[in-house]
Amino acid sequence: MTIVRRRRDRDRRALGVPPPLLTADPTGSDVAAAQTAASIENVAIALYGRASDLVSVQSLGSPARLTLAALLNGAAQHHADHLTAFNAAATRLGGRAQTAPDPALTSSVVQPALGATTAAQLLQVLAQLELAAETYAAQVVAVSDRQLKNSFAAITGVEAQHAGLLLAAASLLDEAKVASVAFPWEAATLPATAATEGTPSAFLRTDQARPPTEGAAR
Amino acid sequence: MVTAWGAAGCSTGSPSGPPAPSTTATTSPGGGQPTGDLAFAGLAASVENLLIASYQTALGAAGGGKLGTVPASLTTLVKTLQSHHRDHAAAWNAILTAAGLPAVTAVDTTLQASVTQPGLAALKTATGLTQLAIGLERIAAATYLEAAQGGLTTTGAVQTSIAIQPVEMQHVAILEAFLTATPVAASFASTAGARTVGDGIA
Repeated sequence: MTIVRRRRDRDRRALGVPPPLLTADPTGSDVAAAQTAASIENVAIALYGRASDLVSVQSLGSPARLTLAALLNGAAQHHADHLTAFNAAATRLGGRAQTAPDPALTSSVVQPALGATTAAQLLQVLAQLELAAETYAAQVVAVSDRQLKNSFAAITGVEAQHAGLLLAAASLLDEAKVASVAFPWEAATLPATAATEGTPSAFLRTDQARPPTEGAAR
Repeated sequence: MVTAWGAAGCSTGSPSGPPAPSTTATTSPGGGQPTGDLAFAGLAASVENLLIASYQTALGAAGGGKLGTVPASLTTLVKTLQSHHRDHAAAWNAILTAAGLPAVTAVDTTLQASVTQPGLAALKTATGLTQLAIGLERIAAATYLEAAQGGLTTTGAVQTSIAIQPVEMQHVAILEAFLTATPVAASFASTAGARTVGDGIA
């Protein structure tokens, strides 16, 4: 792939075409970052795909069950789109698509999520998974490829949105306000602090970002 | 609930806050308006100031009974969002003052004239308040996304922008939950409506 790219760049120079603004990273660090992101998305897709069928969610009455199913399934679709973006970057930069899950998250998130005994616990674990936002925010300043950087930046906020709604819903379930778990919220009956539970901090941290090579294809 | 997302009210430079100010952007050769990342810092501070002021006006209207019944869940949220925006303004002003420039205390007058003045004048209900807030948070998020994706050049400024943009997005989602069945509709954030670095300090 590297040889192909060199030839392509040589041909572009010969034609007087300027080199692409979005340069590939031949050292592979950008590829590893994209693959790691893809591996996190693989975890998310697999987990969200099962979450709404777990007993802790299925045992909820309607509308909470239906609301959570829509939230979880919607997030799964978003993560599928993110996976496509990250794997497209990985292959464009000369690597291969990452189809495996992040190994560390598989043990630290997936197992606790599947073992959660309540829907509130499950949602809190899923919110931990959405700390992917921290990983992506860290990569915005680390990667050299512009398109990949843009993808990280455009996806970070969406993961934060998922986390916010998960935390708010978990808070309602924690407070036995199951009937309030419905979008749109019935504002008049919503506990005063319920919405603020979904936006707990003024800044996204990066201290829990996953290492950028953790999910690299090997 | 204490979560890994941290506690509200983080201060600049704290472990939970944005990175310490770091920028190499400069003022213009004539010593006039700042350029580059510092210009954006000024713009961002002025946008944050506008959100703070607009929410204050809206909360005053709600408290004065001018918006009908406004649920406590919404007013509590708006106060929290306002607190976040104070922290954001402080972060951008820290960048400015670290570079020897004065903090920006003014509001973005372009956005004020086009969005908040007419929006606040027409405000009559809690739903209207929510819609106005969503619009403002979307503009803020888009502004930070565009800046992080290419408008900014220094690491500290990019880090600050990408530390704030997801929080503005989170504000949007939580506000949307008051109005819609699908509070997170898109897989990717948008730069539509962004205020840009070239806008400078309003």
